[in-house]
Amino acid sequence: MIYQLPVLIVVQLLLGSFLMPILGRFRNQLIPYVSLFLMGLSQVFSIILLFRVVREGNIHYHLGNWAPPWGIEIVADLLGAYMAVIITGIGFLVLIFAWRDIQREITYSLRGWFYTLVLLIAGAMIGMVITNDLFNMYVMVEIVSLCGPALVAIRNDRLSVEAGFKYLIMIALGSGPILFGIALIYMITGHLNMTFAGQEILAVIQEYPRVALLAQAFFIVGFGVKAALFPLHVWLPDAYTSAPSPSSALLAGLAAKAYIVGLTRVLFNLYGIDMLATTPLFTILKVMAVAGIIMGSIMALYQKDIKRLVAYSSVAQIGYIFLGLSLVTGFSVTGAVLHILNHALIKSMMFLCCGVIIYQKKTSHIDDLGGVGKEYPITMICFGIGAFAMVGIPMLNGFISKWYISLGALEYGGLAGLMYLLVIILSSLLNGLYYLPVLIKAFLGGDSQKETVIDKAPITLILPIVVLAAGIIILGLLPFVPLQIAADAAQHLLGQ
Amino acid sequence: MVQGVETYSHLPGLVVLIPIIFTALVGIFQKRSFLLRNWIFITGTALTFALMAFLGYYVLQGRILVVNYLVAMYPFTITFRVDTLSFLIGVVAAGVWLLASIYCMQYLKDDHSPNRYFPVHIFILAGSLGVFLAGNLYTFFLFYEVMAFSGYLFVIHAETPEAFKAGSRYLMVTILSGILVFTGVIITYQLAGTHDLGSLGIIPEANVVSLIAFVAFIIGFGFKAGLFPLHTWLPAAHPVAPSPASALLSGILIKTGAYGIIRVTYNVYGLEMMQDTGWPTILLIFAAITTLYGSLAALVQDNLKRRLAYSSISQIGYILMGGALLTERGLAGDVFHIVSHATIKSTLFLTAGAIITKTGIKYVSQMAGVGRKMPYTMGAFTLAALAMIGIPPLNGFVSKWALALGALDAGQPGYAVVLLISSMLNALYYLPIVILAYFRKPEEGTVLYGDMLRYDEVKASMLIPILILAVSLVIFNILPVNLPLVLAEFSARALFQQ
Amino acid sequence: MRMQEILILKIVVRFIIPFIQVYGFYVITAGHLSPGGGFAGGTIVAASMVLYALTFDASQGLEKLSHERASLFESLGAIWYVALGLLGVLVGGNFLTNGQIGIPLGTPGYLISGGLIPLLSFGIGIKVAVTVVSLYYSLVEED
Repeated sequence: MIYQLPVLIVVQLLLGSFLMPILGRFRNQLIPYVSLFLMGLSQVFSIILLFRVVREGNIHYHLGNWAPPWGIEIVADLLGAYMAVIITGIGFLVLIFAWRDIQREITYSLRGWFYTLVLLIAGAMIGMVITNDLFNMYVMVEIVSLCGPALVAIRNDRLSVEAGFKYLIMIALGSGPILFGIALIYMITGHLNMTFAGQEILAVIQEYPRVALLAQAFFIVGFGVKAALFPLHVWLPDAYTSAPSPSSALLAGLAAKAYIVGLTRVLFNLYGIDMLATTPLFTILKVMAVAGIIMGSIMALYQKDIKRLVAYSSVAQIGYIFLGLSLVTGFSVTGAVLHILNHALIKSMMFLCCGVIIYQKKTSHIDDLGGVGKEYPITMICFGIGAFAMVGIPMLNGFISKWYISLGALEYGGLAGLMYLLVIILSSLLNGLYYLPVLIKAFLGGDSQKETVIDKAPITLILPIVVLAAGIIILGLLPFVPLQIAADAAQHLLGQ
Repeated sequence: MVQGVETYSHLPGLVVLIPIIFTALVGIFQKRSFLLRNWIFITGTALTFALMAFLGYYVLQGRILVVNYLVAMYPFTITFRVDTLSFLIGVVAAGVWLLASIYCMQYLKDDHSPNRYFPVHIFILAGSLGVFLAGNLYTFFLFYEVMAFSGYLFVIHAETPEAFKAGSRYLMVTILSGILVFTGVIITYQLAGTHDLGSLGIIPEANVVSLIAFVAFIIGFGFKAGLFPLHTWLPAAHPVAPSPASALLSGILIKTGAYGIIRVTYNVYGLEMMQDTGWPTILLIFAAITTLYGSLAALVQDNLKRRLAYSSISQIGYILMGGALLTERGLAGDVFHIVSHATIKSTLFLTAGAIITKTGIKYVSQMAGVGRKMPYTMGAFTLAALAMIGIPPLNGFVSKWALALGALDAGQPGYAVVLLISSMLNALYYLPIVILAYFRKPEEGTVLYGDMLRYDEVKASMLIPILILAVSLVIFNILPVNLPLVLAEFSARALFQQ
Repeated sequence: MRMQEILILKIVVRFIIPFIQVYGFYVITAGHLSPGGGFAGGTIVAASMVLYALTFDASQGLEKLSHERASLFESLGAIWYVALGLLGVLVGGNFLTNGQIGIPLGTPGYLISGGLIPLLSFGIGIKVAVTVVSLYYSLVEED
């Protein structure tokens, strides 16, 4: 039974999402409960899967009982199971939040579709990170790519639809290169299975060096657009700002990371470190990552809307993760993988906090936020915890990943390593510079001009935020389990 | 005494934990009744001090108390390590904190948001003790950041525009200091493979990277300590805070920066490497500049608390000089001056606060006649001022003497001259206040004119801590065994072991 | 357009649609024997519905296949597919296992062969048909 888990998790989420329209026709009120149940069940399964993989190693699953290279192979390895736990866990909390929140943000007829999309995107994200077949990955990528803009535009007002449309176009522009890259790989290796293709590519690289390089470039551009790697990130601020808060939480916290993991699988499992080291790939990624970190943080300084601020901050953090991955040292990749978890927690929580503020005050403009801290202390304290975690205060999880990526930069060595360390340090500084004024305004500012629309936020809005904040603190003090998993996953990726 | 027997004990952890627990208790009960809150508050600080003093029982036997928490999370283990240096500074910090706590109950009786002040007051105690008792750089950094960011709430307490401006500067400095110290810590960990503070030098070799880390440490800690030219936040922040908070800010919190530099110099880099490379020279020069600059700037300040703040900057220069001289007597003087300055400056700030409370006087030029009105307060002020200038048998004299000897030991008599000049400048800006307070009659139009000159001291709960502090300036130096001095010399010797 | 031309169109379309649909179903069900399968066949069936909606009115088309019913069929098609896949899991194999768990595969070349595949095609065919039609209606509605 456990053996079936990888597929089961994806299938049950997909099945659930198909079920929603039917439920919508007959028993509308059941929709939130069923989706919550399914997501929770998937979370349980993912945790079981993670334990199994940690204890006994990867699960190789052959769809249709056909062995590769004829069948589609799914490999639930450490990284995949880790991502599955994160995706379902945060998905669960976001669904709890969304229950009440979308009643304010989304019109009645579209609410059922929200749950459909959430289950669908969750299932597809998990599918993306555990598959070992290139074309299967492409299918999953496409599903996520289509659900994303839908989740943005579901609010059905002018800004959201425009942002969703922009998102759709950019992300479609990304899909083309990915498909083309896959086609090129298939052309030179004759395989769609990543392991087999990886072996083949070693053999044929002499004959087709440029083709392999071209495929790499396509993959980076394609996945880069979707993952919001600078300078391909331009859709992100509008999309995350106009989307309903639970969507932003999901997309910022999970979708971007899923694409990064997808890219990682293609690059590290297919190509392998040694081959990649001969190409300028990592240098390019490093430069883009650094640019993302700096530009994202600088842009965030100028924002007046709190969701936009958090969105630009995401661009910077995604740059962090890319930097960790492209430095290709044990410590830095560990830090990057860990930061996937940490940032997912932090960013989702911060978007949910913004959601609470918008729910209560119907505004997200920073100048209107004076004194919000006194009215909703719990929410703003959690936001503060998130902000400090981004700056990298010890005792919070952001510090741990920052530590490891910094160590990675130093391990990389030389003047360049010190420069990267400087970039990381600078980004902490900039993080502080744009988050702390918000906090100060919220707690110590005068009273907000906007009147409160609703007095008390429902507990279902606050609870997920508190759980996530608790997670941030706990992982900051006791990071052992995720740290170990991240370190092992890093070892696997680096081929040791 | 037998040197350095490591003993496992949970007491250091307890010392840091108790203030945290009491923060929560104060926070919970303060809405119910002021009296209850006050009692919890005093109990908390008193208990911490008592426990801290109890640690002395072990330390005086030559033991070093060590405890590790969260070992499984290596390298993120929280380690406490109480050696003589930690104990001395810690116990003085806890003591000053206790006295400031007694003082602030009365001082903040009519404050606008006591519910914010009291919990923060205790919480920062936990942070500071955590810094002083830290056994590895991670623990140090953790409590350093916690303490520094919480200190922001001290600075902006009055919620006036000046307070917010000072607060923004403080915050900027805190963030910068934090990231620079982090740079130092991470490079240290990379080079040394460990961040334990228990040995006398963990950096393997002196190269560009370790130099960068050293500079990062110096600048990072220098921000916090008030080293020139990183001091600009200090004169804005210390006056703006409530007086007991100013006392703690000047007396203890900036010492964490100095303490950090000492630990980095002697425990992370080690005496040998520092002597070989001569890197501390840069620190020495800036410390000397700080000393002179602080004193000169203090001369022209009319706001009393601002003058005291610049004086603190000058004194931090002394302390950093002592550490950078790399001689045993210099370090002993350094450590002893940390202790003496803590007590002296706290006395000064608390008296300034008393004067503000009773008369509303903030400016030196208006202080004519205060001595008649509040003789005890002014008496304490005078004693502290004399100690600062360096008159025997007060503790300020002892530390300056040790520092001067240290400078001569290092073959740098120039710095002894700097000390001398600064002492003279100290006299120039402290004595006029005393003279004005006692010997001038208040003019017409000033606050204390005529009728206001009656004797009218502050309440006992504010006066007693002031007097206790004042007595402490003298008493240890008269007793046959000058306990703080002995401990300071001992801690210096421990760091100089080969 | 003039009355006669519309009339011609309507009569001809009324004739042709069933044939188109039959052909579409043929493509779906013979998917495992000849090129086509669920996707292509489904699209052909959808084309027939779209033709109807074009010739007559979109609203008439909607009467034949309302939005809710379309959603229902869509979901049913997808669920059908997944359920078939899970069949394999229930019996002990992997997802979407075909002959290896004992589904009779028959002889290649005959209509009833290939085990699971024609059933899957059927599900896909329905889903695709309904989806394409819904898309068309969404585009035309301008709502």
